[in-house]
Amino acid sequence: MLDMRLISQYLPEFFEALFETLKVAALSGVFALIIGTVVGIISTMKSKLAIIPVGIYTGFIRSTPLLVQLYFVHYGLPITGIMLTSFQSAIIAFSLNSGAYISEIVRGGLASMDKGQSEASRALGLSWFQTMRLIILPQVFKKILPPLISQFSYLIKDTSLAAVLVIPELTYTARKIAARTYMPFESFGVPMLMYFGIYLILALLSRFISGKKEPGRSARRWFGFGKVV
Amino acid sequence: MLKNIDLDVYESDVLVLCGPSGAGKSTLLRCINMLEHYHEGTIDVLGKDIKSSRANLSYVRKNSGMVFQHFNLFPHISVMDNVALAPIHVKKIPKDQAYEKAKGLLDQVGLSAKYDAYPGQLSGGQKQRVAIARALAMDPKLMLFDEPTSALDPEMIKEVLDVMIKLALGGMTMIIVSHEMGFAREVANKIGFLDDGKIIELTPKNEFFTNPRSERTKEFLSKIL
Amino acid sequence: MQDISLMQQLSRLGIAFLSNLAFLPFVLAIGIILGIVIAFVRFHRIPVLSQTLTVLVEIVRGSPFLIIVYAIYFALPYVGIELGAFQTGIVVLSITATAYLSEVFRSGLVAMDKGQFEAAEALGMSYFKKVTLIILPQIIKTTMPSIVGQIVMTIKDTSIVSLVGMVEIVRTSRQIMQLTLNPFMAFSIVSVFFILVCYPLIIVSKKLEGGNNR
Repeated sequence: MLDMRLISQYLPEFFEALFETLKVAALSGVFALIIGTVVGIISTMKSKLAIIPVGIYTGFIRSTPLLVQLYFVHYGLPITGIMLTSFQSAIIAFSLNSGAYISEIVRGGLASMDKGQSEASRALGLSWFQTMRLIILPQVFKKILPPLISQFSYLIKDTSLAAVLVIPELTYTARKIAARTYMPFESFGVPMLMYFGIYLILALLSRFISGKKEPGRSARRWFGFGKVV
Repeated sequence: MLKNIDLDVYESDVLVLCGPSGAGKSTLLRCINMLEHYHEGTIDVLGKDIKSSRANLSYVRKNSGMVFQHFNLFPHISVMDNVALAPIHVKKIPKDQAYEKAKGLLDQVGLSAKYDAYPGQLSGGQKQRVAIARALAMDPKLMLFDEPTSALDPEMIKEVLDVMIKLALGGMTMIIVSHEMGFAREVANKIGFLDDGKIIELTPKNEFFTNPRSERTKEFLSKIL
Repeated sequence: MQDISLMQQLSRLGIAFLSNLAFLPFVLAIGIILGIVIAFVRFHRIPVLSQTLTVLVEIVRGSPFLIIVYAIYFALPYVGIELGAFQTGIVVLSITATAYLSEVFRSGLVAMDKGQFEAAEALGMSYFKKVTLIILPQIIKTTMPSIVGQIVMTIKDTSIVSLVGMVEIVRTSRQIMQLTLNPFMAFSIVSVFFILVCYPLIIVSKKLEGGNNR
């Protein structure tokens, strides 16, 4: 059936590719978290001047395919004089994309916070920034950790589009090896298993964290993310 | 867990099952139309052993009505459709006839103004009266009530009990799980006291209140009366 | 560099966008029907079948869309099935929509009040009647926001099928870009088309969600 010799021969290359995938995802994830937090906080403000640009940004990201966003960055930005490597383009596109979704998660988390927390902090004389940093955000992030983990899981899957820019991550490598060996089942099977492994680990982690908060609630699922889309 | 249950209910009997929570009253009631599965023993309802065949169970469910603690009305259809749904789709009664009948039943439970309302727009007492009408629409020979008033605000209990009293006086065979001892006193002809999965006492009403046989029953009555 | 008027670009991209949307009715129909069936099989924990489907659904949900497209497009010819780009699109979009929707419906079923099943049974309804008259209408309503979300996802994912040669709006925009050397214009028009269709759907999905929670 499957050619085990071939698999073991190419396994080092697959692991290098997995590492590349994780590198792209981790870098994009960090930037996305920063973007998402800032945008999320801005979106809770009352001023139209703040809400409208945020609405345009998240609306654009959510309504258009990631592939188009990637092309925009990679082919569009150089025209304005910003020269980017494929790797930089990918990181920028993935960060902006994931950042928009994270901003909605952060906004939801902020909206669900008890008003008394910020009132108590302000009454103690903490500044707005201190209140956010010391009181509000730590509680919000604890609360939104499970959806953030599923968002990271989506991000890892999305990084497969970096293959379009010839970045040697998992999906690109799979295609390359498939073309070289004429063994598509092995070539795509191994990376899919790797993606599935990461997905499983993140899903279990997310479940473990939310399970600790509401014992028994999610006990019926034995794997996979509970909430979708 | 139910143990050593031996119980006969005759036509036009009104049996009220009472006892502390966790005693198995609801479980016993839900065994009668097999919402709860039982492992040993037989239950004959309307002359049919419900466990022996799918057809028997289906017959019993079509000919008995059940009223639940939490109403379980179908929220996506109107009150009228809730009542007419089973007659149309299970009993295959012509639509206009089923709706005519549904109107009559809703009038009977005092909800003439609510034909087109949705369950979400009703109070708890109104919901439970719709649920009774829904069960009656199947022309049941037997009505099962599973704590019909426990989820209601106190001021709504009476409107539901009044409907049930009317039913009992009309000769309906009823098995009721309830904590409403005043109601039991008024309409029941038999009262069963359950504790720990066993029937401790099953006696005619008067005897139950005036001369309970077991110590457990006495203790229970002294707590709630 | 070649000049193509804005009107020409608009009409070429508009026509190409129709192939993105052409997938939708079929993919959605398959996704909803199979999704419901799988959801019920898993909900009732039908032995073997249920576990097998769970693993398949999770593998699809755990894999990037692009690698599934590649796998289907490049691997199937080796077992004698030759699929064109459009057919590959139909197959992969249907598979993913089915997997995601089955999970949507399954969580809808799990969240459903058990009393609804009991009330239907106590009225003597057959399994079929219970499902079609009582359970499904309510599940469809509660899961509507996610179904609309899946429509948006399917429309956006169509663009990825262009990577195995399917002619649709994103591929056409790249061709135009290579002629005009103006990526901003081409991709802006593409974005406008997607926004015109997807943004209203996202708003509808949010409204429905708000309505359900009330």
